[in-house]
Amino acid sequence: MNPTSRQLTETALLIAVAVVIEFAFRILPRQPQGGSIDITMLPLIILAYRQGFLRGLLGGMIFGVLNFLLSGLALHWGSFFLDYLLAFGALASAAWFFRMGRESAVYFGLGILAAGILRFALHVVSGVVFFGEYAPEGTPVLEYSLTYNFTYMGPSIALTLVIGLLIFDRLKPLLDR
Amino acid sequence: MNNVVIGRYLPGNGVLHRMDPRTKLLGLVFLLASVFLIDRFFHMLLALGLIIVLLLVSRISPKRVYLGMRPILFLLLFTFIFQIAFNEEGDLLWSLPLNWSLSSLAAVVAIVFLWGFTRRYVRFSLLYFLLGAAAVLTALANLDYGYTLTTGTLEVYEDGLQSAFFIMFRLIVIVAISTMVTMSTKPTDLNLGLEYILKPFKILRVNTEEIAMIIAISLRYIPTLLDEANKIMLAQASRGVDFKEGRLKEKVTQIVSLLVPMFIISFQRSDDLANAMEARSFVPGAPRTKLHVLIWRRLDYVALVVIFALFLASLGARLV
Repeated sequence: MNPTSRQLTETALLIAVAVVIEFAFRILPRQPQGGSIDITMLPLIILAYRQGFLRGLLGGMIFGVLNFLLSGLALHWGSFFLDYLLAFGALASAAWFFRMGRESAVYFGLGILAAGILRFALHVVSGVVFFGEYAPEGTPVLEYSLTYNFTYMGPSIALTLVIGLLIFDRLKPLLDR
Repeated sequence: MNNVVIGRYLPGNGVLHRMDPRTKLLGLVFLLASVFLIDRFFHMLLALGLIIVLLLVSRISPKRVYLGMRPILFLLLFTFIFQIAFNEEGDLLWSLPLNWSLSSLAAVVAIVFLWGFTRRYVRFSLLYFLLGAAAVLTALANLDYGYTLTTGTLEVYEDGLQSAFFIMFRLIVIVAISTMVTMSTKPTDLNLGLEYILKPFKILRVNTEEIAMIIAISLRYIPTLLDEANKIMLAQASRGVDFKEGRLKEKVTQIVSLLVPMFIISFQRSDDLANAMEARSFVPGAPRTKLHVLIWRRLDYVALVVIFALFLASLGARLV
């Protein structure tokens, strides 16, 4: 099914906002671990709120591709799919919570939380594959991946949640046009 | 904030700059696959040599590749140290007894603090880090005064050393390949190439034109939105918001004061753009003609043959 031109331009602009946030507004600039603490997820989740799961999935994946084209690093064979395509596409899962109730900020928060945790899980899986490939046998791969990814995903999710809830009421009329 | 450069494209006139983006994207895919197929140290060394030659030929400075690696430097060091310290296969090359005593632990803490405080004043951060690590090891090996908690030995085995270097070289090659592509191709050209490469996915009912369209619009509006963000920041600053200072709570307020207008502006822009496109008879999903048509040149055929040969060679080396 073809989108309307409005849906198309809206997807593009929200992705552009995400890129601008990703590159220009690092909340805590340059973490030593590589992952950064930021609120890139917010515009993509708002896209899922506006246009539903499938369009949100497409938008998230396109952001992943764009992010990869602009500064991508894939350290193992699955990284492109897990860390870029699926991790950002997974943010659209928030749309399932938005279906339960669009009026209250509670569901918006739940959506952000679920989307963030799913993205975190995908990064963890990617880390397991990565360390599985590079670390010696017998290393507690899962624990390392969990800790490593949590150091930046944990604060990112918390920050996105707080800021998302703060702007939800102000953006509400715009989001429900 | 004023001079944020998004993407890594640098204008130039090297071989890679003149290549078709489709060639470069195919090259990226197949060369990355080749790198993951390689499993012998000597072959990886060969790949590293080829990449260095390619860097020199395409006139892309290795310094740029190093800068591209900066974000993963920590990860690289971590895996490197991990391999050396815990891989215990092959011949024992070198061992160092370590004393975890009160004096040596105190020295380690002192060194780490000294390193942490002084590293921002030192230009070569990686070298400085290695110096710090060497100092920590020296302290652990030599200081055994005071109450000794436990002793251990750092043992470096042949396989550990080899796989540590193997991994490091592999990561360098991977980062170099992707940096070369993004540095020598404009994002808009990459998008044109991507649209072409994605064509086979049409069978899966993926709307590749739509994807390319969305990426093109995003790329077009990123600088515009950066500009708008700057204006908003100046406007909020004139009302007394200080974007440089502040604790976490104030930072959150600052971000909110920036984000709300950002979203409003981007929704307005997207409405305007949709209207403008429809006024010019844009119909989503309808066939369109192209402004920029990509042409295969002789250079591209040669490059594709070389890339494919390299891929087959590494596949053969893996299977043999």
